[in-house]
Amino acid sequence: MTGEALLSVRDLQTVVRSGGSDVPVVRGVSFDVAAGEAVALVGESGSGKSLTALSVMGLLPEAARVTGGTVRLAGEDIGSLDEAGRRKVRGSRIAMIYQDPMTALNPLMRVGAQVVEGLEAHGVRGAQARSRAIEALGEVGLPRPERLARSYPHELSGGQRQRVMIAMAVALRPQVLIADEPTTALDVTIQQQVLALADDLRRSTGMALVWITHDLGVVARIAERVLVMYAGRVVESGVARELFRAPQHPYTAGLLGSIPPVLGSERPPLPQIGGAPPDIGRLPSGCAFHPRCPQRVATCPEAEPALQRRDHDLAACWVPREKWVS
Amino acid sequence: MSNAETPAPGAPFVAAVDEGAAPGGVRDTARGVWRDRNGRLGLLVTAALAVLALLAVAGLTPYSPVAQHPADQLVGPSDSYWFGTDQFGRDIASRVFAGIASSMRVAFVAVGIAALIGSVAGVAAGYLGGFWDQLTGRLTDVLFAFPATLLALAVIAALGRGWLNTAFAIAVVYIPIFVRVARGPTLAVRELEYVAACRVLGFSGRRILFRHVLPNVSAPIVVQVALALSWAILTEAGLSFLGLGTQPPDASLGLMVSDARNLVSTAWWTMAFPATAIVVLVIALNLLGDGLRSALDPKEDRR
Amino acid sequence: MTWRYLGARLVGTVGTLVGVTVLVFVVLRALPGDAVTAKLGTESGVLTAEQLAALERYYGIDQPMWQQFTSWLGSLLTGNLGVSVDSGASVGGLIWSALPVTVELAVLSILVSTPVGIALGMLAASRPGRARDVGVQSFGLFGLAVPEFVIASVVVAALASAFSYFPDPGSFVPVTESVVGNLSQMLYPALVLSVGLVATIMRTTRSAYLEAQSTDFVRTARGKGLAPRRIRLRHVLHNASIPIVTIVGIQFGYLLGGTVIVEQIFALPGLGRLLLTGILRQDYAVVQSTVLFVAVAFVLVNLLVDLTYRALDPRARLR
Repeated sequence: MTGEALLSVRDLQTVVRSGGSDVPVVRGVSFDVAAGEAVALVGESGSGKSLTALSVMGLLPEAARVTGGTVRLAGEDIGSLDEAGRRKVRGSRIAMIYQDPMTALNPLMRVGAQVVEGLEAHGVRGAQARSRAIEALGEVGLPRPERLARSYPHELSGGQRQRVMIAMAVALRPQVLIADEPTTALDVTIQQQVLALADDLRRSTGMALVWITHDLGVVARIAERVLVMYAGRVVESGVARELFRAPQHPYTAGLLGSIPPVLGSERPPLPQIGGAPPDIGRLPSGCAFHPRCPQRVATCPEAEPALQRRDHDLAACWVPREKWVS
Repeated sequence: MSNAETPAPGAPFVAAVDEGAAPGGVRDTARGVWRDRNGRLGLLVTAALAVLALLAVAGLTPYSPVAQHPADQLVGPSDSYWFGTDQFGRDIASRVFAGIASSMRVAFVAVGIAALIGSVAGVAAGYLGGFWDQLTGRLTDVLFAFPATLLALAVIAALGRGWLNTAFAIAVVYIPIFVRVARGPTLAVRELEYVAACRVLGFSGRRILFRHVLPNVSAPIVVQVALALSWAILTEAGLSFLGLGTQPPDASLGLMVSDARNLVSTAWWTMAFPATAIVVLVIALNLLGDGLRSALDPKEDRR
Repeated sequence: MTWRYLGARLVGTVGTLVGVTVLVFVVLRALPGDAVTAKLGTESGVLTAEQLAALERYYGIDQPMWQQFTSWLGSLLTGNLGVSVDSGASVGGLIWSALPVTVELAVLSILVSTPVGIALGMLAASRPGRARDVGVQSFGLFGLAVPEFVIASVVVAALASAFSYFPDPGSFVPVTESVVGNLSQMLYPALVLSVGLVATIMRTTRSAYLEAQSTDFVRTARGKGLAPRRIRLRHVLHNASIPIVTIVGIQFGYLLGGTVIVEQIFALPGLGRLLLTGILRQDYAVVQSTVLFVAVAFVLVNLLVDLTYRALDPRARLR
């Protein structure tokens, strides 16, 4: 990690109100993102990765709220700002794009107007807003942006809609862009185009990327560092290449092991991570992963391991990799 | 749950096709309705009113609904006359029970006819497609082109007054609705890939109809029946109020309200009780419909 | 909106109108059979020779059924809507004078109920599940369950005892004569009709608003840092307004055919009362022409609502 952390999340805790009680869904997540860095947040459905992002943005739904931890952007504690303060930060300094561009865009507004709207909310007016909006639409690779700006979302293809979302998000040159599985609903070829676009934007503008995904192929393509989440906590974090080469947490190893090899005629049966992700409301004692873990030892059900230094990464596991049984 | 069939000679071997369990069932549905708070209330109240109606039909009311007691005209609610008496000295409680019975009679006949004809037509249209679908579509379009009340009035104008004609009038209004309700799921099932698989494997049309179409269609139809009953009660009451529905001397809630129009300021019970009976019955059926909806369609997002 | 769609829709509408005409004929001429013309023998003394002739042309007497239909159609298209056997008045004239009353009643009811319904719906949606929501929704449930005639009867009785006001068909004040006088008669029936309308509009507003509020694009709007007021208006309300406008239009159409009871109780000389009197007196020409008229109006109103919906929602403009 080079340089001062731009986005710094410490011990973030979020709960969701369900059936009369508060269920912790983000259980002490901490991470840093430096300027211009690309970080991937990986996990299965229910791991809490989306809720982490929404917590950072302050966009949690009615039933959820942040109960602890700090979020600092360029040193400033944005979590403690009032709603008006957060609104100033949202969109202009930290922006987010979402999984389904069809539902994430207002169907009754032309796409150009939706980009302009974001600009106007942060002080860019009139003709300047219009021209910047068209410029942004062009930056994301949309052809004939002046014409396309007059289209409605349903008139565009899935890939085009996602580019519009990206344009909306980067129009004000935010310092951080959080992307919540934006390519999951797209064709593989479009997926690659969007990833390339995001990467280009990052390099050209110095914007930091937080890319949320469950797809390790996407991680390999775009991420410098990776955070693996399970059951509301970060269980491994490290440089992407190191993590792929030698994962330090059995869960990460399981995820990597379940990628079928592309080449090779010999195809042993795919190793699976047995069992299913836990119900976040009823977590097992100690380490949340232990019921499914092939490296489980006696300590595991007793206490939840904190992130500790393991080789080049940080991993929340009682059993170092050298001691793993295969 | 697979279902291997012994092949008929010459027929392709029917491999295991998992046809699944038919969704819902009377007991499951009843349980689902009970679990829903609205449904439970609706069920209980409707049942209670049905009991009252049955009592009336069996002649077990406190007094005869048509018997006049000239000495006790316009008496307020009391121990001997629970709901008071009307201007002819007739016991309002007995008349209200009898009125509930006649409202239910009209409603059940009307909705029964409409549900039967409409559902059959709707399933046929959806399943057979093509010409039949077009024809049914045109006919229902024309029926839908009339506001409901207007259509009912027109049918009454043609057939004349009386409770049976009222039932027919209400049925005519609801037939296109049942057609639409039945056609949708039928089309959806027909398009399902596994039904095509069934057909390729040689399952008969009838089997597909009963095993797959019917269970999917019956749920929305049942919900619609409850809602239709509620509208039928309201409409029958309205038509009787206008003098076009159930004719005297049969007791009718709408007619009772109409008769009470001039009396209500001096004898509030002459209107209050029949009116309340209508409202309670309509609400109960609506709640029952809600309960059925949540019991039969668990996917539905209940806000 | 494409002309092709408009053209196709109009053709469809014409087809529906043809079907409607046929159905009206079948139900109100063929079904009752000779009962329709029975009164011509006994009560035609009221009619002049030309009125009788017009009526006979309208009914196509002594002709085979399908010729009766064409004769009727021809009469309609030449403006002969029949003659009332009771009064001798031309049915066309009767409808023409009754129409404004019903339209005014419908318009008043919509004007009163729409703002109230929307306001209540938004009130309920602002705190879903809480007391105000439950209260508003219960009101809605009652509003639709209590029959119009009950509400109307109670209102009339209250007016009678409070203001000695007794509805009387002869004392109707048309709006052209005196606006105040007219409104004093039309306001109460409009309020009665509004009860059911408010319930429906409120329910639609509530669910449309709640749905719009929980959409992804509202989250996107928040994520862009937009002011809450802008989000509420441009994103939530704008999207919610489409189903609301649609339902208001549809309710207006229903009102055209559904004012019978209120007009009867409040003695307003509108289309509903005309129809009812026709039915009670077995004046078939009146019934037939009135039903057809209202049905045609209903079809046209629905067509208008549909086109408006497509104009408002860009997603629906294709096809």
